[in-house]
Amino acid sequence: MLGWDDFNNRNRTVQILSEKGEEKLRKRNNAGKKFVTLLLSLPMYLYCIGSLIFLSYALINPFKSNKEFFQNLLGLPRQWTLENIIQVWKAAEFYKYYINSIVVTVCATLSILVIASLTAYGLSRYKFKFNKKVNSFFLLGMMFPATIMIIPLFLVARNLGLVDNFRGLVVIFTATTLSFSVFILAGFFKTLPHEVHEAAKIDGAGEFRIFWKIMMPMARPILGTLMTITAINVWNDYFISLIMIYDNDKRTLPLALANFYAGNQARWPLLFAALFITTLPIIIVFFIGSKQIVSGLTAGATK
Amino acid sequence: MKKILNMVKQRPFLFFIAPGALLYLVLIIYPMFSTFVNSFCQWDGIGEKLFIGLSNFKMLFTDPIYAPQFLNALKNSFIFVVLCYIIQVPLAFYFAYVINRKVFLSKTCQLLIFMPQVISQVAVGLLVLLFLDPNFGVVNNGLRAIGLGSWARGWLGDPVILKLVVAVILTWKGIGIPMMLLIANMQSIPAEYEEAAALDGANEWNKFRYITLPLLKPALTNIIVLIFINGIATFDIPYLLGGMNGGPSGAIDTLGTMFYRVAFGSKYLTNNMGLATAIAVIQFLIMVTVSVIQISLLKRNETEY
Repeated sequence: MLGWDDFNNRNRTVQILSEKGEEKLRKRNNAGKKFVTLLLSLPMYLYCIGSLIFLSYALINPFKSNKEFFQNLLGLPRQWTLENIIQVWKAAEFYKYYINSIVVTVCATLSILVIASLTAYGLSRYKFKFNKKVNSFFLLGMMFPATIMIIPLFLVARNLGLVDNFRGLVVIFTATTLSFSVFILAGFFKTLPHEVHEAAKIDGAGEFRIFWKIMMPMARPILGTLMTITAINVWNDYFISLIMIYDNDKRTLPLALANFYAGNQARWPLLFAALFITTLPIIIVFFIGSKQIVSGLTAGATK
Repeated sequence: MKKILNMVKQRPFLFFIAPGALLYLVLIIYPMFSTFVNSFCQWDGIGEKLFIGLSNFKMLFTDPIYAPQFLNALKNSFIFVVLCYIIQVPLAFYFAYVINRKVFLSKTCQLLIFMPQVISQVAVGLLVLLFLDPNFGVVNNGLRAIGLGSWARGWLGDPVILKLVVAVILTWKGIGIPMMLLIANMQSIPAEYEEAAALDGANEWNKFRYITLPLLKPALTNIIVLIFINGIATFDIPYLLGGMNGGPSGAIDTLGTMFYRVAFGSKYLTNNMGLATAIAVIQFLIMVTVSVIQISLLKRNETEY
């Protein structure tokens, strides 16, 4: 005959046993889930590794000497040399193209930020006749990629003396990205409270001062995003520079790289060195400012 | 002079808009207008323009020299769009889904996948040329090293492979943005929806199919248009891989490369700017049509959470 105690004990044992079983099951389930997750993410890891291998092709080969390159096509360099990189940097004058690219990118980005903010501010903060119509008129340019109107643009630029010089590139980049930048900035300026404007006016600030000292600092985050988008687009631009620049000394990096390839097709290590010099810095910049760049470019793409 | 100053003082917005408006009118609006006019003209870029009505457009579809080129370029541009859809959309979906589950190293992978976006087209094109080179490229030599030497070939000489290569490069370079759009959209879906579905006994696939997917429609519409516009306007990569003539027998000749060839390709001043502009106008019309469809689709598909 079983007493209460036995009954209770047995019950407890069953309970403990079943808890153990559940835990086991849960553990197995968890392991299964982990396995599924790993299986699921495996292709992504492979894609990333493939991507890295593809890039490392450009990041490793410049360190092989010309002789070693053709004997050792696949492996790591047995003897690391800086010879190719130095030659491309100095003899092929890539330092010059670097300076060109930096000058054009900095000037164009500043010019876009200033002119687009002025325009966006004027359009979004003042009431005037046909305000809405003027606003949408400014946005028309977003529908026109530069490739489509490049011929008349080139002719106008030639008449204004904007062809084959940096001033021209800066002005043209400013114009071609104006619509998009105004669109982004006007959207922001519209959200700023009108009271700030009025308070500053009562304090005796002029219209430009209000804009420069009060509104622009408030727009800093959006200006940062816009700066990222334009700087990367200008730095990498190929098509517009291809048509607007033909003097060798005024080439930007993408033009110089394409031209260097055309002129040195058999000199592989040098080609790799040129690739290395042009891509490594932008990759480093990307990883430093990745958060800003990823969100900026993504926001920029959808308009 | 004083009158003008007074006018500006009373309308401060003029001061703000003036520099932008000037640039915009001279360098965007006038060329835009001029593009449309030129497409109705016969013009070599230097001499007089001769108005010839719709002849340029007619020529693109009927001229024995230009029509086959144009139709081929148009076809190729659409092929790239379709190939990019087939490769990019599922892949972006997959990446977004996995990264959104916050698997091991997902943040690093996200950055690695996005990174090619910032590398210049020229560098990517050149890297691919070196990678696939029949003699010294890493692909052929890798195949030879593992005993598959018979698979080695001149990758860039085969029209079909060449098309695929372009689509793969466009994907590798461009997939970051579609992926980020999907991730952002997935994160905005309230977790309760999935929890509720899980309580009702839905498995992973059903949750994805009946909850995530329908709520991603706006992002998906954006992506589809984005890929379309990038694909139809693609110039850099085909130009770098195949040159002005669009590779062997025009395998990767697109509207972009044909435009460049007709407008700037000839050294002997026989460039046909009018015809080139007509190509650009057709490209523009295709893009506008797609954008209009996108806007109407987006309006219909607005989802509220």
